[in-house]
Amino acid sequence: MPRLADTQALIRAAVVDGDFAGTAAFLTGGRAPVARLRIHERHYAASLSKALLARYPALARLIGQTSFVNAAQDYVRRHPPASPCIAEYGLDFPRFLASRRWLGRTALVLALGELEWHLGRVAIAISHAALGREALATIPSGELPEIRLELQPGLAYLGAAFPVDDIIRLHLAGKPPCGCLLEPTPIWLEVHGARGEFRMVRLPAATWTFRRELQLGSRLGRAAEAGMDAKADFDPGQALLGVFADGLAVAVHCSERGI
Amino acid sequence: MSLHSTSSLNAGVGLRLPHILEVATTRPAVSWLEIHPENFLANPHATELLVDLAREYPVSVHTVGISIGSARGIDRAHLARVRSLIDRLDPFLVSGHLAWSTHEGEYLNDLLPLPYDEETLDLLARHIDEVQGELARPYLVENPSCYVGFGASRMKETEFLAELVARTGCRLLCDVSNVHVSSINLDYDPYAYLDELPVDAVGEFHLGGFLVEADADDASAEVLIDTHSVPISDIALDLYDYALARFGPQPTLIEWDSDLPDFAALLAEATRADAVKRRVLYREKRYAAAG
Repeated sequence: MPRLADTQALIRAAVVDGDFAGTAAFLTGGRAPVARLRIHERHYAASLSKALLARYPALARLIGQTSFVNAAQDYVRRHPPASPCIAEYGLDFPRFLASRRWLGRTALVLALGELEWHLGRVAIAISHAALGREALATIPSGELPEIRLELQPGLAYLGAAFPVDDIIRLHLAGKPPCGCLLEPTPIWLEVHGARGEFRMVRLPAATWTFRRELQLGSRLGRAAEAGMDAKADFDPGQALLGVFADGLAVAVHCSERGI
Repeated sequence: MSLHSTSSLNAGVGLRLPHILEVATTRPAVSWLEIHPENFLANPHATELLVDLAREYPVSVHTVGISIGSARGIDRAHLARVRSLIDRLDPFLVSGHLAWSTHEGEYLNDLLPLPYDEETLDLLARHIDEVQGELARPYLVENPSCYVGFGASRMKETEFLAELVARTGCRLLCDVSNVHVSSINLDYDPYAYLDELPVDAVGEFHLGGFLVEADADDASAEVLIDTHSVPISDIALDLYDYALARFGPQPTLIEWDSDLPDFAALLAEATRADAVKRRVLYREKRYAAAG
């Protein structure tokens, strides 16, 4: 008689891998209990493929529903979820999809998949009360380069080689991407969402770099340098005011005190 | 809310994410709400709405991912996350399944069956003790819907559940539809099943819809699939009538998880369940009056 751990390993192989070897020895129920176990196998593949389809609908439209579902069913067998929170499942699915040799368009698939993942993430974020620029007034000018800004939680900064924001807009309008959108066009995208909604804004490369550094937790001075590395005449002061004007800053942290 | 006051509640409904904005906006007349924490832990916006709803509606937390039946141990990181949500909601019930769903760090997104023997009993008793300790409240264990059984089982499911109650002090969530589904699939008497459950341990009922399929390799036989995708069958409501008479009125939940209809359709299902409860209470009152 197998131990429980061995029994569960065999059932796991049946449900995930479709390998039913050894299960007939311990199952009962109906004339063909092993066939009954296929109900669980079917549920596993169908429910997770459906979750991926819900997460990446524009990607499914781009590559075709059948191709997407076939790839999803392959993915869920090779990469079972690590957490019961299925909303967190499938981060690396676009990379898996892009790796399929028959597919082509690797960079586009990756970029669109990355954007859809972040749209799903930021749209369920909450938003905090935004700080006004006066939050900086009490900070001595000499300390400014050392501060760190905490930005809204529903923000993502993505650089892409394709106009994936326009592909998303067309998808939301119920249309497939037109051919011109499938050609390389570098974009620097800020995605800001909260409470079920999101917006996508293209930024100049230097502004995008500056904001992304802030979001990563860099000091203001480091973010300014990164912006100037991206464009020599980048104006960090104007860029900082823009962060406050857009309602993105929610807290200012000095090295030893939070404001 | 004390458990004593919950027996008078009308039927509640499962709150799924597609309905949460509507419920938050319209505040429908529903007696109570049940949520799966796994749907909310990764969704700060939905959690924000839920915490607000919990100030107005009694909320029950029904876990699907703790996996008390896993031989390799429960998911303690997940249990800690559930605890954090429970601390914010203060639910009147917390429940989970007599099943397993994780294996060596993988989550299999299903409620998988267990053999009923001493090894499994010892394991589940330890895990339920741990869950109740971490959550600092009683855990209600739900009877599963089963398609297969195990040659290794040495006791009936009802005996297994009764022993868990005796060892851990947990309570039982009697999913009446699951009793019907499993009774057809594994060929037993659902009424005898209810008779065998410990009366005082049952603290909640579930009702959900199922589909009927031809059984594999036996086209003349049927297998019931617990999909929660259709209205509750009349036969399950008949069994619910019997359960109410045996266990008394307990909080009853309408479960609907797939092919989700309008929220109004869920309320209509709750009304059907409430009608059964009224009928049973009236009948019991007449029996009592007649001596």
